[in-house]
Amino acid sequence: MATLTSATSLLALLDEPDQSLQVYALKNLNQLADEFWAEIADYVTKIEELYEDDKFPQSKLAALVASKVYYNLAEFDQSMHFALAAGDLFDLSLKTEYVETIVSKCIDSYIRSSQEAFDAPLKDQVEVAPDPNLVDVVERMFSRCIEEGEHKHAIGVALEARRLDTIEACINHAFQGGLTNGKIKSADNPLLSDGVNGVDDQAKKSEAAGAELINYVFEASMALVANKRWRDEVLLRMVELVERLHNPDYFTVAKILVHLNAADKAGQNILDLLTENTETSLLIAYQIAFDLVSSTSQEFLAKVVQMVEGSSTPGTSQALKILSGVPTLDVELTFLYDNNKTDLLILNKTKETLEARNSIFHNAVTFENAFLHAGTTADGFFRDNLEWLSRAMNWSKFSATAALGVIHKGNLSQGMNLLRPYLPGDSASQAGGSKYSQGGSLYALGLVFAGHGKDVLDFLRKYIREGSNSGGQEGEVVQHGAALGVGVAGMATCDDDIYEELKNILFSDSAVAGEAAGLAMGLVMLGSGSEKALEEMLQYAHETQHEKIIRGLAVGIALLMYGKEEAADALIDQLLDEQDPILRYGGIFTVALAYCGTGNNTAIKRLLHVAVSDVNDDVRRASVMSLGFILFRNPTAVPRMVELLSESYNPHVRYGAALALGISCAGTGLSEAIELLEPMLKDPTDFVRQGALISLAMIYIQQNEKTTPKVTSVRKTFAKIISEKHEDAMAKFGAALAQGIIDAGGRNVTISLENRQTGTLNMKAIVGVAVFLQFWYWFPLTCFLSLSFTPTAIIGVRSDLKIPEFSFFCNAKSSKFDYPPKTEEQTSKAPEKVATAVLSTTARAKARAKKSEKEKAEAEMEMEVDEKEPTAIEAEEEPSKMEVDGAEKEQEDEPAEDEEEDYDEEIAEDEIEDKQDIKGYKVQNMSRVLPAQLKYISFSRDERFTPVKKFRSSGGILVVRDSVGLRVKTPFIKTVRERNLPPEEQDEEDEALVPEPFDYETDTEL
Amino acid sequence: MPQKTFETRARELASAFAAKDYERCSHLLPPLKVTLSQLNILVPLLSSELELLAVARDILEIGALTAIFLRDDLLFSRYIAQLSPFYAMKDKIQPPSLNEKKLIALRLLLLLSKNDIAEFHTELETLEDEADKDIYIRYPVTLERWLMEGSYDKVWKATTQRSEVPTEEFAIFADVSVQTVQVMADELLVTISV
Repeated sequence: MATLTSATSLLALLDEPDQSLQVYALKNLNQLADEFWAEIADYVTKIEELYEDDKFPQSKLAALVASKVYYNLAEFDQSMHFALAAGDLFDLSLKTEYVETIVSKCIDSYIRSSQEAFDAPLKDQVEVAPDPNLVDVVERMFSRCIEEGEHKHAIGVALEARRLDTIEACINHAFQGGLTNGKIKSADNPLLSDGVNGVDDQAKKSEAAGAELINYVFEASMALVANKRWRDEVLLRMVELVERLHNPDYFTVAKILVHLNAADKAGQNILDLLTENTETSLLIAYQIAFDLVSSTSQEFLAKVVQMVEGSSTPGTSQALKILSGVPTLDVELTFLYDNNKTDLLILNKTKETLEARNSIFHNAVTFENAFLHAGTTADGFFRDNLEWLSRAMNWSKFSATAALGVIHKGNLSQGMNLLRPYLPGDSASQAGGSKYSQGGSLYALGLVFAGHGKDVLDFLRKYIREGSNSGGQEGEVVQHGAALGVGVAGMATCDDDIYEELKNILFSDSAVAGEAAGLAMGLVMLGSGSEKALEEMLQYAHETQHEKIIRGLAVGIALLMYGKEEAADALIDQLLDEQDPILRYGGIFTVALAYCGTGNNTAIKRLLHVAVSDVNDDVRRASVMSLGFILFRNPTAVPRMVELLSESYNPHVRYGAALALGISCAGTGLSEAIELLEPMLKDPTDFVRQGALISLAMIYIQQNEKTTPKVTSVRKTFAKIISEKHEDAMAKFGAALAQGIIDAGGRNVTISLENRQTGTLNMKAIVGVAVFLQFWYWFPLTCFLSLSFTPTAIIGVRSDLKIPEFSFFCNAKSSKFDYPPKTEEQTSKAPEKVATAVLSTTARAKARAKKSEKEKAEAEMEMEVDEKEPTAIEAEEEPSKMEVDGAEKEQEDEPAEDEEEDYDEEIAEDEIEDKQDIKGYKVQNMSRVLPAQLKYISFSRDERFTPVKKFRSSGGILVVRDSVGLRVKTPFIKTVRERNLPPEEQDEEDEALVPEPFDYETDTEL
Repeated sequence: MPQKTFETRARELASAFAAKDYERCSHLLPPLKVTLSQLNILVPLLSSELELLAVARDILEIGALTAIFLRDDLLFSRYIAQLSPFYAMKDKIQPPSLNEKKLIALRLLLLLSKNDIAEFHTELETLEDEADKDIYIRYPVTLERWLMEGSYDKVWKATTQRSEVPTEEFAIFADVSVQTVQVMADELLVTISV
């Protein structure tokens, strides 16, 4: 066999005068370039000469050889340049490393140049247009991807390269029955595989593939496209595409419309569904309405309501009812009320330890109580501790009253009545006339009606207007409360009248009222980016002497720019250049809120820069904290980013790092974050410890020992810090807050800055956290954190908005997602144990009972689970027995009983847990389902009630289809509102909805 | 039939070379090389036919020698470069080349005459051990040794006297070599006098 050992002979040919010999040499060199590139490299100038020679017939070949040589020399830019010059000789279909590298290089540079072209103003577009050769390569790549059915690849590149036409081409191709990767996936889907065979099936499949691609585009553009203008363009086009389908996925459309903030289109969608007036379309409309309520602003909803109001189809009234937001709140409130698992012992212990005379401790306990019971309406702690409550002075009283609002958050039906004794006005004489509790109660009223303020806004506004008349320092307090209340209740309504009234308070130049007014102006105009408001607020911030007002305005301005992304850049630049550190502080929050959840690199860079360069500690602290907002969609990135900052010499930066972790990793239990936070608990600076405590609680919210083993020790640390004599007040305050946060809302809520249903930003939560962070300056703002508490439940609601009793399946060990044990057991159990331990007969009886139960359960299990490994179950009797224990634990409300038996087995259980086949268990409707648990949840199609929306691991309120019909009786869970209605009214309302006797339900009430 | 004409033209070239009509050779060679490239034997590749390779090699050797007689250094170097893969696989190409050692020796001499000592030694290293027993190769090797020693008189004698030169091709380099020697000697004198 003849093989070459050197390319010298070929290279010598390049010097030949005869062109055909040179071509011959190039042809051979082209084949051998990867082997002899080192030798050819010496001649590359000669080859380039040939390429540039006009008379040379094969200049493209020369370019190709040069490209290969440069590739081997790792000069990729040069290589790409020559590869492009080689034109069609550069074969994209080859699977060599060279081709792949160069193609990806081409795509990179194409993306870069086309992004520039996209961002450039129209007149310059010709100048920056990408090289036609480059376009050619990318085009060829696109068409190959589409031919081969690699649509997702093409779409990914097209998204980055701002090529709407290519995206559309891909989707159209998929709809025409082109192969996709997605097809395999959708084949697994039970809904689709059930389809009829044949042509119909094929059409269905390709439609599903297309729909999946649209979903993919949607998700990709949400997660990865940083440019807002382009993203909106893509999303809008996707909506058009989906609408053209025969059987559009309304939920996807709704999701996209929420992102685009296109209320009119969303309204039209609901109208269409209502007009269609089939059972399914109505259910879908209701589900969308619920989704909209949970994920959009009041302004958006108001627009949708306006559109739907015109319709006169049967479902309209129901849809409007849902859109009013009342049913959502009712259902969530009921969930929190029924499942309240607050551990009062922790709270009482903290109360006893922390001296109430000290106002910071009084505040701490107030907020802990507020968080623990947020939304559960359980205000028993206040009622039991009236004497303690009476020790609250001045602003503590304000906070304490406001805390009542947190506890009753969402209790629309009774909120007003509950707060009436404290409210100013007609009952002023009986309330002891304290302006502080009056102001606090107005704030509380706002919190109760947070984001659903229609009913109370007028009432609150009265005090904004009147407050100025009463004058003096006391009037200020009422105004302060009223302004905060209006801000929370009227959040994102963009109501100009309210704005003007708030502005009047601001212009009265009273520090206390002005601060709240500035903040409230931002809240009311949230995310509007209104030029007028911006100008006025900024101007006043420059004029006033009061730091408090400047701070209120600074945060208010930041709120104005919520979610504005690039549109906020000019303002950010302006604010960051301000002399006044408070305005720079506002500028940082503007970055945080404008780029919230985008992961935008420019924003991150800017924050990191300020974090290490600003002269003011507050600004630095804020900029580190803000990282948490920008990166909360990607929590794992944060620990690495703030690792160094968390060891900064500057305590403010450390504090910021702690909170950035808390914000971004909230509810995740991420161990990397914990590793950074734990050392900070021993930080020499008190407020850093405070930050670490709060962040730990935010991260560990709703975690139990099974999911994150460290949680128990962290809880102990909280208690220890509170009880320690020499600990600083700041840290104790933080520990008390932490205790409140970690078990917030009766252990049934989590902090989630993203809406699970739609994947959009959870506006209320983000604003809640952002304002909460201002507690550094003003304790009453702590209450804002309650806005970010999201109930974690799956609540099935029937079309008549009743909550039927049914169950779904959770394919995991029940202990994994259990509530953490109450502390009561440990303290009160010791004596009890002695009393029960002697009764051997009972133990035997118990064992007998258990055995039979176990057998029963086993039999059940065998029926339920298709016997994957029956032998394994028999062989390992121990584990399966324990499985039953676990199930019992879930059902019975007295885990104390089991504890004794479980005690010995606990260690063994842990060991075999992994090997064991997980059996799963049934979960009742409207019970706690943790975010991490969602992926184990499944609905049986044999159940009477099935969700109308395809279940994609998103909790919240699901509209369920009733396969039997509304007339067949079934037990319901009554909402708190219904329970509170007087009996005669109950009947009336009931008749209006369903024509069946209500007393049946009262019988079966839980 | 390109094969046919190729063979006749190859024979034509051989006879012209034998007749020492180098001008004619230089006209015959380029089209022949094109034909070689068309037959895919200009460079021995995996796909080339072994029998034809010997013919190609002979043609290239004639080309190299012609270049010497025409005193075209660059052309000669190119031919040598093109011949190198043929020599690298000489055990496969039959019959073996008669001119191989001579051409290598000539290349060494050319390098020496250009005072490119580094390349000279690199080339020498690639040769097999018994190479310096070869009469042709021994010539440039001894010349180099004398030059290094400074025995310019011996060099002078070896290059100017016809009897010392192995074949007439070597004589052609003589003028160049003499010049090199003169330059080196001048340099030496300058260094000594300074």
